Amino acid sequence: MRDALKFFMRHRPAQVGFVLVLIVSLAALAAPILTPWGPRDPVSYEFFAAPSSGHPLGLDGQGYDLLSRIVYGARTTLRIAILATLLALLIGGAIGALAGYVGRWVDLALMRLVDFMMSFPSFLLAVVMVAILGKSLDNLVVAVGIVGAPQFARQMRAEVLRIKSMEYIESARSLGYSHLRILLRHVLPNCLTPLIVLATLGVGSAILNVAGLAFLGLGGDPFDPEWGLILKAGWNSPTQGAFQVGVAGLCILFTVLGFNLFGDGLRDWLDPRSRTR
Amino acid sequence: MLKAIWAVGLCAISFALAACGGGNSSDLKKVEKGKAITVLRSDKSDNLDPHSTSSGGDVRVLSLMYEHLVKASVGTAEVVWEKGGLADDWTINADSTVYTFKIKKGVKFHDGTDLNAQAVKKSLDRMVLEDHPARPMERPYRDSYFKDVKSVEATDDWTVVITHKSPNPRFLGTLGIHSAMIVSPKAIDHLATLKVEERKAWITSNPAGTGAYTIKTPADYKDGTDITLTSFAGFHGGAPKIERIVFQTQQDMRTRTQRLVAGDVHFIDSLDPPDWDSIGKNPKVTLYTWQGQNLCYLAMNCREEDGHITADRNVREAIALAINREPMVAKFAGRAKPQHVLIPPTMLGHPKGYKPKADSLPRSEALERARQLVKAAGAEGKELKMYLPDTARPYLLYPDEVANFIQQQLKEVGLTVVLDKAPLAELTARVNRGDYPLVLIGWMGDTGEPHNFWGPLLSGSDGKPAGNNNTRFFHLDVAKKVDAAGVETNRTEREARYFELEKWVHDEFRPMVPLVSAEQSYAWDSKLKGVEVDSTGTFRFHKAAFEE
Amino acid sequence: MFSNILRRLLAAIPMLLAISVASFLLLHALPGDPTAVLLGQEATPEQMAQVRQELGLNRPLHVQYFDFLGNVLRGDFGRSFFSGRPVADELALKVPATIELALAAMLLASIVGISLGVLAAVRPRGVMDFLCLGFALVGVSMPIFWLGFLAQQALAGGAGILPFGGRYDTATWEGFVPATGFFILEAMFRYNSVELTLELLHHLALPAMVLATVPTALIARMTRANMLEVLGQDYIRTARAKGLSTTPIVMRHALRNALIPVITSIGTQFGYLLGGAVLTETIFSWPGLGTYVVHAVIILDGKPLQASVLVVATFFVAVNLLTDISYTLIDPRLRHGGAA
Repeated sequence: MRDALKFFMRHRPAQVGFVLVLIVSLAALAAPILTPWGPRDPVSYEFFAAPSSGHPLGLDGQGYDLLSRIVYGARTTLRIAILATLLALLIGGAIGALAGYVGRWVDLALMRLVDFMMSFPSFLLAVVMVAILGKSLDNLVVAVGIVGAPQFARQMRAEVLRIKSMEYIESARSLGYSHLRILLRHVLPNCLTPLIVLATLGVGSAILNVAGLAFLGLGGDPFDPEWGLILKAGWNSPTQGAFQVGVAGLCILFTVLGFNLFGDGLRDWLDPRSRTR
Repeated sequence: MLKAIWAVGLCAISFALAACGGGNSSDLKKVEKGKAITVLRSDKSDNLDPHSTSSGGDVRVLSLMYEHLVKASVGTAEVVWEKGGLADDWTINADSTVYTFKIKKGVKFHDGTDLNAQAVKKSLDRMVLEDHPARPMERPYRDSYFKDVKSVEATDDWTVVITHKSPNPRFLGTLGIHSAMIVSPKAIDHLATLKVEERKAWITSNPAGTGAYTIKTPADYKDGTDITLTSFAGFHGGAPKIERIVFQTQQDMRTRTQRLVAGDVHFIDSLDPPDWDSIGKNPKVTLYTWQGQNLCYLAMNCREEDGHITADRNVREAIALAINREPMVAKFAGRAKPQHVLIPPTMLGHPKGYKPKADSLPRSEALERARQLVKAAGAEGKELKMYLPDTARPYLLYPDEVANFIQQQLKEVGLTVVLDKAPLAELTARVNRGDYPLVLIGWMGDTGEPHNFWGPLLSGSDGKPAGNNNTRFFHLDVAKKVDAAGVETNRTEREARYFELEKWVHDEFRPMVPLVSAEQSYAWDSKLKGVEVDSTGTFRFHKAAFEE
Repeated sequence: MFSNILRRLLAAIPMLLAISVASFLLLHALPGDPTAVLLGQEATPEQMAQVRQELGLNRPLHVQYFDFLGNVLRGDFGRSFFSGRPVADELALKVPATIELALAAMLLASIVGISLGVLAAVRPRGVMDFLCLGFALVGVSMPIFWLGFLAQQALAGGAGILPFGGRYDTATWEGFVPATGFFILEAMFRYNSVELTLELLHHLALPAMVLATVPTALIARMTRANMLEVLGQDYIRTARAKGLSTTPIVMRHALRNALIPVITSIGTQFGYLLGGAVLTETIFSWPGLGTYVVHAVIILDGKPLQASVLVVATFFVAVNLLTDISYTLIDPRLRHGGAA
C-alpha cells in the first residue's frame, strides 16, 4: 500500500486523473447541496437564457437551470456507466473464471461465445441490444454492460489460469477443499487487481458509449439529466443551443479523461515493466 | 514489378466496375449553375404512391410530380379551390351529388400517355373502388373521403362525371388532396400485374404523373432521404427553368438553417422560430411564413374497451384543466397561437374567441379543481403512457419539449406520464390496438374544409372511430351531426353547424386538449425568384429561376 | 503454412453459422408486429393472419431459419417492412459508403498515428513525445459526436472551407449513376472525372478526420510503445554504438520490427470502424450503414437490421481472418503452426 502511495505521488497524470474523477464524483454525490434547483424544476420560460448570477450557466432549452442539469447529469451518467461496468465485470468475470478454472470443453465453449460476441463491433452491438430491449436509460446499462463483458472474460481467464498453476492452489486441493471454496477464497481474490484496473478504464469507455447511444435518441425520456441527452437537447437550436452543447461535451471529455488517466496510472503501477519508462 | 501490379490492379477495378452495370462515363455532366436546386427538409419520403400515403413529407414531393383536377389558391389565408388544375371547367348540380369535369387537352403523362377522361376515371377508381386490381396495401383516406362516391364515369373523351350516394358539398376540396392526384393509366395497368406488397416500391421510383418534375430513372430515388427530380420536357405549362431538384433530409433545424445560409442548399422548411427575426433580415435568404391550417393536440383515449383511466370523463376534464399552453407558445417564440377548439384559425368553422368552460378558469383554480377530480376518480399516482412522434412535425416543432411540459403539468395534479416515442408510421396501428391513453400529435388541413378535421379526428363510421381518430371517441349523435354539417350546402349554415359542434363536444365529452396552431415557415435562397407556395403550404418550382 | 491458413478458414465456418443464427433470431427478438406495419390501418385480423402465412411466420423456427439462410446465400435479404424495398439493393449502396469512409479514416489514422508514434519514440520526453501522448489520451477520451459538432461548426459553418455533410453535391452532377456505391473508385475509373473525384474527396475529408480520431490515438500510442521497445533492444544499441546515425536506424531496422503488431491492429480496428462509424455518419449525413442501422432501430424495421448485423459481423470475421493470414505470411515464426 505504501508502495502504491509512493508511486502515485510521483505519477503526475494519475494525480490529474484522480482529481478529475474526484471532482465529478463529489459533484454527483453533493448535487442537491450544490444547487437549489432540481434537474427538472422549471425556472422560467426564458429558454436558453444567458448565464446570470442566479444561474451561472444560464437556462437550457426547457427553462431549466443548466448548472443543476449538469450536476445531476454527473450523477446519472456516472451511475449508468458504473453500473454498466459492474455488470460487464460480473458477466465477463464469471465467464472468464469458469472457463479458466474448469478448462476443457467448458473453456472451449465459453471462449467461443466470447469470440462470437467480439465479432460484432461493440457500439453497433449496443445499438442493436437497445433495439431489442427498448429505449431507456436502464436498458442502456444492460446493453453497454453486455457489450463490455468479453474483455473482462479474457482478462479473468488469463488471471485464473496463471493462479491455478501456483503451488498454494495445488496444496489447497490436496487438503480436500471443494472447488467452489478454492475458486472463491483462493483464486478470485488474487485475480481482482488487474480487473479493477480494467474496470477503471472501462468506466471511461462506458460513459462514451452511454452518451453516444443517448445522443442517437436511444435513451428513452429526452429530459432525463444525462450528459448525452443534455448535449442532444442543445443541438437542435441553431443559434441558441451551442453553449449547452459545448458545456455538456466538455463534461463528458474531462470525466472520461479522468478515468483514463487514473486507470493508466493504476496499470503502470501494476505493470513494473512500464514503470521504468 | 510494382508498376505491373498497379497496372493489373487498376485494369481489374475498371473491368469490375464496367461489369457492374450502372451509368456511362459520357453521360456525366455538371449541371449549369442556376439550373439545379437542393431542397433540405425535415421529413423524408418513403412512400410516393399518392393513393396510399398520409405523410406530409411524401406529399411535398408528390406535389411536384402529380397534379389534381383542381388547384389550391395562392396568396389567400383560406384555401379556395380554383381552376388551373387538370380540369378546365366543372359544374356541380344543385344538391352537390353530381360533379361534371371538363378535362384539359394536350396534357401528357411522364410515361408518354395522353391525359383524357378515361385516364382520370382509371386513376380515381383506384381510390374509389373497394377492390381495385391495382389497389395499394393501404388507402388511409378512402374511408373519410371517397366512400360516398357511387361512380366515376367518362361520358366522352373529355368529360368525367362523378356521382355521390349523398350530397357532398366539400368534394372539390377532396379532389385537391394527394389521394386524388391523377396517375397514368399505363402505370396503373402495370401496378395491377405486381404483387400488392411490391406496388408501393415500384411506383415510388417510377412516378407517372403530369407535373413539371419526375424521377428520370429509378436510381434517382436512392431512398426516402435522397431523391433527385428532373424537369419534364413535355410539361403542359412549359418546360421549367430549374432542371433538377434534389430532395435531401436533415432532421435537425441547426444544420438546415446553417446550410441554407452557407449557400450549400437552396430551400429549407421548418426553421427554428426564435431565429425567424434574424433570418428574415439576412439579405441572402427569403423567409416565408404563414399561419398554417394545423392543430397540435393531446388526444385522450375515450374508449371503455381499451381500459385506460382516460375513459373516465372526469379524468379527461382534469387533464384539460391541468394543461397550460403558455410555455408551449413561449417555446415557439410566440409563433404559435394557443388553441382551445378543433378548427384552427383562418378556417371556416373556427369560433373566434370561444373557449370551453374548463379553459376559462384562472390557473390556480383550474389546478385545484383538476386535483380534486383526479382524487375523486381514484386516479392519483396512476401512470399514463403518452405517444409522441420521434421526429419534429410542422405543427409540433418541439415534440420532446412539449411532451415534457405536459409531463410536468400533469405531475402537478397527481398523474404520471410515461413517454413513448415512436415513428408516425406506427402510430395508427398502435392507436387502433388501444395502446395509448394519451397521444401527442397534430393534424394539417389540406382541403380547407372543417370536415377535414371533424371527420377523421373526432368522428367515424359504422359505429367505429375513424382510422386517424386518436381519441377513439365515437358518439353516434356527434357522428351524425358531423355528417350533417359536411353535407350542408349553404356556407353560413354549415359554419353555424360547426360552431355548434365545437360548443358542445369539448364541454360535454372532452375527448382532446387542443394545444396550439403553429405558424409555418419556408426559407430559400433570395436569388431564387418565382417560388410558388399555395394556401395549403405546397411549394412548386416550375416558374422559378435564379436571378442575379 | 497452407494447412495453417486452411485451418483458420475452416474455423471461421462455425462462427459464420453462429452469426447467421443470431441475426435470424434478432428478427424474432424485436418488439412489434411487422404485419401490422405492412398492412396499416385497414387490416382485419384475417388479413393479418394471411400475411403471416405468406411471410412464412407461422412455420416452425428451424424451417424459417433454413429458408433465411438459403435466401441470404442467394443474396436475398428480404424487403423492408416500411419502405417495401429490397434490403440487398439498399445495402449495396450503404455498405460501400461506409467502407469508403472507414478506409479513408484508417488511411489517415495510419499515416498520422505512425508518424506521430515514431517521432515521439525517437526523442522520448521531447515535444513530439508530449504531443503524441497528449493526443493519444485526449483522442480516446473524446466524445466523437461532440468533436464532429465542433469540427462542423468551425470548418463548415465558420470558415466555410469544407461541406457540412453528404457525399457530393447531388444537384450539380447529372448522369452519375454509380453501380456499386464506391463513389470515388467509380468517379476515377468509370467516369474518369478529376473534378468529381476531388468533390467526393472534399466531402469525405471532414467525416474521415473525425472518424480517424480514435484509431489515430490508438495507433500513435502503440507505435510509440513498440518503437521504444525495439529501440531499446541490443541490436539497435549495437548499431548505434557502431556510429550509425539515428535516422537510418529508425528507418531500416526499428520501424520494420515495430510495425508488424501495429499493422495487425489496423486490421482489427478497421472492422470496428465499420460499426463505429454510426455516430460520425449521423452527424455528417453520410448515407452509410451506420445511419441505416440507427434509422432501422428507431422505427424497429427488422429486415434491414437483421441484414446489417449479418453483413457487419461477416465482414468483421473476414477482416480478422485476412489479418491473421497476412500476419502468418509476414512473420516467419508463425509459418509453422504453433500457438496463436
